[in-house]
Amino acid sequence: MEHRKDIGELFKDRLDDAKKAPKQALWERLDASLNKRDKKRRTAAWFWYGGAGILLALLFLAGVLATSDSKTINENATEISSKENTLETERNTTKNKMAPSEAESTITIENQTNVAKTAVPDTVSSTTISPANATKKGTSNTGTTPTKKSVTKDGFKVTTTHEYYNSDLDTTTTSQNKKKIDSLVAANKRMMAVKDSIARKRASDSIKLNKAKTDSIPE
Amino acid sequence: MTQEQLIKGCRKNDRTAQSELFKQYKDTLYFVSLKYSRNAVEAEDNLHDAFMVIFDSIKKFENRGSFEGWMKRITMFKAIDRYKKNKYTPVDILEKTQAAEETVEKEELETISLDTLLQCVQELPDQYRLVFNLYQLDGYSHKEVARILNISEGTSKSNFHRAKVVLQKSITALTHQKISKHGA
Repeated sequence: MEHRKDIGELFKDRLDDAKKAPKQALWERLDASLNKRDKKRRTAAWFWYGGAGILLALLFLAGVLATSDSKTINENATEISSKENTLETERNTTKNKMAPSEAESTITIENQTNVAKTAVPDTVSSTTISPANATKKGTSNTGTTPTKKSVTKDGFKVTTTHEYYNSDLDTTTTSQNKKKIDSLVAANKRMMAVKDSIARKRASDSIKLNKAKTDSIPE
Repeated sequence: MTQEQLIKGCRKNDRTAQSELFKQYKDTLYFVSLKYSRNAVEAEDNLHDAFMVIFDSIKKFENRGSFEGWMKRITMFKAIDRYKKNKYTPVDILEKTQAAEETVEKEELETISLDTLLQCVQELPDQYRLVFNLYQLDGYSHKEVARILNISEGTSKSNFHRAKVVLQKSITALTHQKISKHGA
């Protein structure tokens, strides 16, 4: 019985650290599998890089399109704004033709020797450049005594006077403070808007009244 | 090429280094694969798959512990995964081997060739073979075996016991065959 041993132990003794060579063809098979795997990885890498490239290109394109769209919108907005300005200018010009201008700004450049006169029309005012010895130049019939003076390098004395003529009241307000004139113009606009709305309401009321009268007449 | 150079080369996916690594360890790992597989064909398939995993995950090897041990474990677990899915434990073997003795004459086993012993292990039912290999040949505890194979510790113990009974029966049969041959 001393020679008898646990079968598990005997197997362990014999099989421990044993070696056996596999078939020669196994490396060729493994090599082929490794090549196949590398090819797959390369394809996957190309797929991902390509996908990423396409995505970047699309993002870039989208960015470019968005920028050009916003530019177009800005350009359109500018165009609309310039059209509005033109319309307002035309309206004011018409008003100026119909009645004396509501607001005028006169710039007088005074020079002892040089004589130059240029009228630059503005949306709400006309500008006049006159020599220094001219006391008053421009479309306005209001007399202004320049109080604000400045001397340029060329020896020109520049004074800016703003005039506001209200054709409804037939009054002229003169000031070198443009803000004051601007506030007067704005206040007048508001008043005009109120008047317009009242007039529109009256007109619509009268239309309604007329219609009611017409309806009430039996056929 | 030293082991470090081999590992470095394999990390760079250098085919020469990979071929050299295969040459150096194929015999050891093939035997591990043989012990855990049903036959030589499945063992070669398993070795192929194990080397693919080794080359893929060699970047993760942190030079802690034995490199050969790391590769052996990969080969072993690759085979376990293969058989874990379809474990086959024939009931008739269990019933017939209940009362058998688990000891054998030392000399008796020494006369049997390594290939025949290996064949005895390979012919064990899948779960018996895995438990016998893990517990007896690779030194895992029954608790560890149970965790690896998703079985209970008791099942591991009983499978191991039955594996030994089956092995002993095979050895006895082989010895009787030899005796009868010599006698004739």
